[in-house]
Amino acid sequence: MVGSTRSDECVCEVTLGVEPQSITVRVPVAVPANICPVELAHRLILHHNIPIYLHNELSEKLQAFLQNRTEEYHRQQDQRALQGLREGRTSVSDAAAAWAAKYSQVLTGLAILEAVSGAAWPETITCCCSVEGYIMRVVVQLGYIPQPYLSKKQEAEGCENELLATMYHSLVHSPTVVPLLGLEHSFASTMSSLVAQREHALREISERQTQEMSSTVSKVGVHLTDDDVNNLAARHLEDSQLLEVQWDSTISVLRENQKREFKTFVEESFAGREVTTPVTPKDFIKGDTESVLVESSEPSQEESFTIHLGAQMKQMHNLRLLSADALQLCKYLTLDLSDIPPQRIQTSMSLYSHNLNGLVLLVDDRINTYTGIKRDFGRVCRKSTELHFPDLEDQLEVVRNTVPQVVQWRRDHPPPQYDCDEDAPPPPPVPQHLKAGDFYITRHSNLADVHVMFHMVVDDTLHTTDINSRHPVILGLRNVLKVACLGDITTLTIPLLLTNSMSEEMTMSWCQKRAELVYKCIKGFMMEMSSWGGAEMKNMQFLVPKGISEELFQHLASMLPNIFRVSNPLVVKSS
Amino acid sequence: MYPASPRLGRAHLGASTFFASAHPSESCGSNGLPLTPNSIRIYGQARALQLINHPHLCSYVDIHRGKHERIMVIQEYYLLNLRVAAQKYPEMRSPQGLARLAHQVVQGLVYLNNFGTVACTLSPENILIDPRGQAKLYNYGLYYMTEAGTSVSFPLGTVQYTAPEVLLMQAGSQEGGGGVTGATVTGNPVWDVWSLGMVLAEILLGCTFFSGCKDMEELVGEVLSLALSPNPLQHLAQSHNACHSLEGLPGELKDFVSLCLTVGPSERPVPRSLLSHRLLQPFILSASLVPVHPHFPVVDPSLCLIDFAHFKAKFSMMENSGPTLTDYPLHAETEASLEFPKDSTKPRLKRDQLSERSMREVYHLWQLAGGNVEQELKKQKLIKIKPSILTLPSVMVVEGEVFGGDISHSQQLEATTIVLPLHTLRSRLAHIPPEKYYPLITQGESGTDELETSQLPLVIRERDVEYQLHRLLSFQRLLQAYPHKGDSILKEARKDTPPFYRALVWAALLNVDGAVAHTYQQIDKETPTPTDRQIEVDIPRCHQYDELLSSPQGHAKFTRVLKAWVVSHPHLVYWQGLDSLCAPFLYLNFNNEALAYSCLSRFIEKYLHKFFLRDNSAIIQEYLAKFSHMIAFHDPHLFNHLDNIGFIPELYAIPWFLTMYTHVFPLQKIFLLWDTLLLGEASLPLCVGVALLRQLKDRLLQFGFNECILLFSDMPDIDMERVVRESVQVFCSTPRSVTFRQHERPRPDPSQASPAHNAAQAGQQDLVMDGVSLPELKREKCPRVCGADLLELLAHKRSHSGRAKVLVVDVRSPEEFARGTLADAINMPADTSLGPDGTLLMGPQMEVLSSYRGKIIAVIGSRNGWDQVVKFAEAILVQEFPRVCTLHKGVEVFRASGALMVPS
Repeated sequence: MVGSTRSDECVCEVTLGVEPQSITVRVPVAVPANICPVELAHRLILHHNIPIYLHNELSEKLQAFLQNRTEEYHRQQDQRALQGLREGRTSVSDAAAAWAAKYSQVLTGLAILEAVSGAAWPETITCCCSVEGYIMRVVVQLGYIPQPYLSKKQEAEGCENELLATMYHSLVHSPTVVPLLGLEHSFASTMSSLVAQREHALREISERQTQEMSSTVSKVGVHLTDDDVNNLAARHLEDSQLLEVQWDSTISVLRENQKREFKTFVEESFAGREVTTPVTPKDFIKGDTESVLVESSEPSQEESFTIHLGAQMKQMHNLRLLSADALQLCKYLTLDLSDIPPQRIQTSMSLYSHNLNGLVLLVDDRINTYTGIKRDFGRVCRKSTELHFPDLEDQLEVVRNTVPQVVQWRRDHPPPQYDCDEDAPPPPPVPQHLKAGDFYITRHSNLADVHVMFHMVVDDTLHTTDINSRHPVILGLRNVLKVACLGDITTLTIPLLLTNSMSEEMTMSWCQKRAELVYKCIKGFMMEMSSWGGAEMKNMQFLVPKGISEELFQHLASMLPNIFRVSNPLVVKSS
Repeated sequence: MYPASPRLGRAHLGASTFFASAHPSESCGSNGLPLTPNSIRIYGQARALQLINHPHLCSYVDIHRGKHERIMVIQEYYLLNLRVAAQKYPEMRSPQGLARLAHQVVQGLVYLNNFGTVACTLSPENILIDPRGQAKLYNYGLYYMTEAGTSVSFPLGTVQYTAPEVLLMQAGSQEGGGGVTGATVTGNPVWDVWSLGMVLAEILLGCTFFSGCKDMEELVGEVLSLALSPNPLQHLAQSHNACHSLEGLPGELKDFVSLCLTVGPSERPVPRSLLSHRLLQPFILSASLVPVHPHFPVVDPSLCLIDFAHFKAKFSMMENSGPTLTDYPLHAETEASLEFPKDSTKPRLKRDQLSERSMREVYHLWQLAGGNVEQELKKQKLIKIKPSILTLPSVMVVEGEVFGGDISHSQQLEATTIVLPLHTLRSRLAHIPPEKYYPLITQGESGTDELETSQLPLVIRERDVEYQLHRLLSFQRLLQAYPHKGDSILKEARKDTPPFYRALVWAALLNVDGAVAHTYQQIDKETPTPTDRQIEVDIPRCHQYDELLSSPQGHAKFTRVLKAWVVSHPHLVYWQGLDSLCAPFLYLNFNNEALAYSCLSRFIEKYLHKFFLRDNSAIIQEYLAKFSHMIAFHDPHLFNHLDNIGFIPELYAIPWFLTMYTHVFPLQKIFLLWDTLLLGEASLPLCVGVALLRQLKDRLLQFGFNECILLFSDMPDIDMERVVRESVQVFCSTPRSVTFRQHERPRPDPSQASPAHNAAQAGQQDLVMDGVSLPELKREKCPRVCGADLLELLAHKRSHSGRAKVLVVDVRSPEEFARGTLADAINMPADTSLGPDGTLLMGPQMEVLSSYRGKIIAVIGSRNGWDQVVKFAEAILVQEFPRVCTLHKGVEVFRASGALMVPS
């Protein structure tokens, strides 16, 4: 509360002893202050040659003085506040409004859920009501009434998500896990085979059309005219678009069905009802399962280390260096219908836990899935239905809608200008999109080893050799670790060289320099992390592009123990 | 006694939780370091609340810090609060009952004011009523621990009962970041007087104030409008249609309430002066109103006067506390039936012994019995955690700002308190007979001897409820009888030290005595000194992983204790490392700086005598030379390796000894180590060093110089229990004179030091160890043993028929040998048995020597041929013979004692 941190200087004057041998002590003290009067008295006696027998008297008088002055100080302050009210300088309504604002600020966080045990899905609305009822109860206890803050829709959505989360989490840790994951898995297989068919069909039609077109073109001037070619091209376009739309609608129907069925399954089995695993709509599948590509997701090279960080209190972390394609971590090894891949069990069980897996993906500043690694990532996501979170496109839409907010914030918070360099160029104009070092986050339940994807925006400066620890992408990595810490992400994979693929200019020495920078910065951030009061980073994985030479990999692997001081290998004793 | 925690009685242990406010991202303090998280500030600040001990204030039992800035508070708790009690019991509503209540609340407030804070949260919900009808303020520490509300984002207090000036000031105030260290947290005591007035008026008028208000603004407006009316009580009565109930009130009570509801803060009386109001005259104080500072040893002469008032109050009031309230609400649990048998007319046969224990003890045991507050709060739905994946933000910019998601946790104050169920603990301890709760310490009964647990490893013993209960019971008694029972404490501590009483046991082991608090008070800890700067730099780097030591309160206390030590030891100086040395004592005695200071001074006196001299090189060099000898003596293999690569103790062991390992290990390991270290002599740390090296031996043997340096620059994980065990073994197998140091603190009483020294008569001065010059010490690789120790070892051999513990090798020429040597000595003349390059040649006696490998091998020679002795000893050291030592001052020392004989 106000005033208690400020203090006034005043001079304390006390007279000790009896006439004619009295002593007057004058000492400046700050009020209010937490001085111990007994110690102050000792100090005065020590430094001013006051007889020791006066100590008791002195400390008592000092105590009385301090008490009086402190009370006086508060009295004056309170009186001033009250005087303001009486004289009309502060109005009752102003003060009331300020208080109300303060309470409502606090209430924004008030998203309290009633216990969800036993609640089944159709009761969502009642649950929301009971949530409100709960807020009311808390508020009544605290003696104030909340301002409506969250819109009804948001609240309902948040509530729904959390309900599903709670139900799913308890199911996945119960015997129901087998049918549940079986369902998810069969959904995924269905979807991926459908997607594969779509690709196949589209490829087929485009091949056919190319053939047709080439044969047509070859005949131009013989029996056919340019117009025929144009017509054919138009028809081809129409055909392929039609086919695409057909496929897309088929897929989206399947997706919606799967989402609905999944929800029903979770609710029903949570309510304890026996659920027959819904029949997968096999009608969509026309053989051709060979086209379901099975890619090897084994990283080609990897090496693990265990390190201890910290001066006295050691914290254990696992470090792993692996050479693989970033998206390989997202793909399931096999889509064989018969058995559920172990990663799926692992990933699903920890989905709503406090041990999440994150991956940093380097992207450009356009938020879409049209080009490069973004397109590949989009494909991986579309291979199976996202059963828990909004689809990738919808999540990206939310991010795109946030960008104006970010731009506005940037305008409002320009980087600090220092007076010392007058000649410094004026700050660059605020870009209309995200810039290097920013990242956006998407959440996934259908990827193999990843729950949270950090899309880190990077620019071309990363290709140069001379980036340092103040580079925005490095700062961005620190922010990633911060979010990981607050958001309970305990396994994180980051691209060690800050690049998705190798290119010409990335020489041995370039790689070495880059790796050293990233290792050292990450080490620093990890040590810093322990004071942030969040989750510990249990596994830190450094990813290097797949095509890397064995020699370079070995070199990078040998740097790691030096920088992280893995000086203490485990020694197994025979005795 | 010292940890002033009242007994459990019929209280429950209540847990509540809230969040500290998070700092805006990337904000730094004025010193450029990141800001201390608010939860740590609160944690450090709240520690002092545990000192509060008053019958009308609920005790603070413990406080925990969870992940993501969560704070969990454990307090004494009762299920009945004033609001419910006033409705349920007419005697609570009666003028007499209200006057009594007012008196009790005011006492609590005065105590708080004397403690140096205000409650600021007074409301009917925060006044609990115990089964005897006594009022107990609850949650009064929020204002103090949150530093006047600056480290949380919610406003303190309940609006209806908050004084108008508080509302006015808070409305205008900004959200404080709490950047100032050591800011005072005093508030105006009259705020609480207003709240008390409101609480009383509400009961008197029999209505709930402002229940018609729809929102916050209206409510605040109503309270503020009170401030504008000339007579708030009248105003309240009118606005709530309760004028008639106001009429019938006794004048005194009405006067009291109106006095409390004085609008002007300067006219409103402070709680202290309310005590002399006519209304409260008939009542007697329940207890002393002055907080008693923690003290140890128990008899502290400076406290007699205060305690007298305390006891007077105690005898008059506490014993005749009234009958229990009927129909008191009970916790739905078995323990309730245990406490209140249905048939209450029969004398209760089984008294609940646990409720006789102090709350902190019960809580400690509850934790040992598997209790975990965070789990309990989760179970009872007070902590609801959203899956973290649902709270992630959607965008984070490079500047550190977050968009979307609600990763910052909800910041409300949850007013609910849950009761920690004690039935598991009760049932675990149910079979222990009552008499065990009162061990007879004079007869040496410790209660644990017959327990199976006492044979198990320390880790298990420390976590076993029953074992720890017995330890607590006997240690409590022993500590109360300290210093008289100092010897028994030492004896018991040899078994183990219960973590709960570690602070006091250590103090007892260090012989802390006298007017500890008084001495500390007299030291000037404020006046700037030249070392301040260094202390200021070192503290933020000392054991900062610990939340207590990294809190602003911790830093302040650190500074005070260190400055006090520097000021009070003018012949010594502050060396870096003293901060680490101080850390364990401060951690254990966080609420008692004086004791931390005393322990530190005693510890340094005993184990680090002269280490903190301005020129301490001679002392440290001697210590390291002795350490080197110890390595050679106990592990020649390792010694030879380290010697070959030139990895000398100077390079790594200085911080070990200067800080007694506190610089290299985390606190929990230091506790384990020091529990034993404090039992032993000043030479034990050397043995610990040897044990440490031995544990790392395998690695060290493989490593070259650079790797060794790296290894020790970042101390690897160590199995501390093994180190402790082995260091005791090392200590026992080392003759005392081997670890003799010139600069050691002189032993207090030489006659008690060892039986060997008993024999040291005036004529046998030569037999005892004395100082060796530093260059000599450093030149020799093997330690020297004194004549007396050697004789004792030989005598040991004679008295026991078994194999000898020691082999004496006489390296003088055969002629000298024949003229007289020690019994059973073998003769290996240095001239003939050593090659020109100093290597050992095979000779007839080699077989004997080899058969004694592992035993102590004492190389003796003449005083004049000292070089030969050293050379020979080193030659067998190279052969990796362990426990090689040389005889200090040569064979000549035995001449006077008559120990020499002609070899047969």
